[in-house]
Amino acid sequence: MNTNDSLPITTYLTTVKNIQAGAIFSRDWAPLHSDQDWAKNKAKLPDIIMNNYTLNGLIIKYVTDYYGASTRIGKVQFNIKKPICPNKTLEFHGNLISEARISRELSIVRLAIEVKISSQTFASAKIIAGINLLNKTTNSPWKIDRDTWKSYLLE
Amino acid sequence: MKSDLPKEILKLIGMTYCMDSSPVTVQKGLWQNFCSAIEDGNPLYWDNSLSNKNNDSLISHPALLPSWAHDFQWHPEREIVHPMQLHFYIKDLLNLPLGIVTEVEIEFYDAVKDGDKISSEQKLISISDCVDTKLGNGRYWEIEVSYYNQIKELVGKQNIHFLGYQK
Repeated sequence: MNTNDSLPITTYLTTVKNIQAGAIFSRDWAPLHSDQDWAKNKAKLPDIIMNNYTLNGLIIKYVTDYYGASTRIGKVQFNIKKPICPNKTLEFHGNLISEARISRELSIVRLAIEVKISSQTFASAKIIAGINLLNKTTNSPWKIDRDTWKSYLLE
Repeated sequence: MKSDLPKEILKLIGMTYCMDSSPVTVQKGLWQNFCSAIEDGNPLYWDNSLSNKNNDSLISHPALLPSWAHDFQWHPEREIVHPMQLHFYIKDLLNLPLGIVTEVEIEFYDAVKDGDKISSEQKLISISDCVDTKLGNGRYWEIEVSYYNQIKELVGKQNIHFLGYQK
């Protein structure tokens, strides 16, 4: 993959159940993520909304699904531009910003991700991740020591 | 104007405001429920034999790092510690009743594993001058939350940018 190349687009259908489950299983008890009555009538939102941790989880899943299970996520910087509600098809779009080879088997990639609904951007993210080019476990990015790993996360 | 900021706020900048000890032990059943909700089948979270080759054991989904420092919704013996206490303290001091997260930056330094206990500390990094936004008048501020495991290793760090405002 070359700089500025796009990752394949993937989709995820939000439902009341998976937005509630994402919030509850990330120990986020705020009612705007799990109580439809509260979200609509107290917060005046269209419905419950996806929480930060669920969105972050989906962004990380998008990257690890593409680059392989042993991908090590180092940094995620994201912002939510519009609330994400149930019964929407999220589209994940990604672009490779840069790739730095650190060994024969490993690279550090920087990616830009956009989460869209009906062509509108609802969230965007920048990611730094370590990837295994040969998809072998002998030289996994998870085996990089902490100090070296932290040095790769500097902008 | 920053000079309008209460002394209590100025004193907070760069200082650790609170340290929260781990309310819950990291457990694979809990992170696998989350992975199920987002349909993430990465074997590092599910399959011991594959995960062992990378990490010596299963690991928690990275997105859950802050969650391990969240208290229960209810506890039989004590008051609940609410997350992001510093944010709510700042809102109260500035009399800004409403607040939203505008940006999150999270770094992961080490894997979090079954049996770990994650504690956290919160620090105010910066606070802006007064701003007029579409939502109302208020200020932006940035809080850094550092996460440590049971042997006090820094396993990750989160910087959260907030807008506190009033209509």
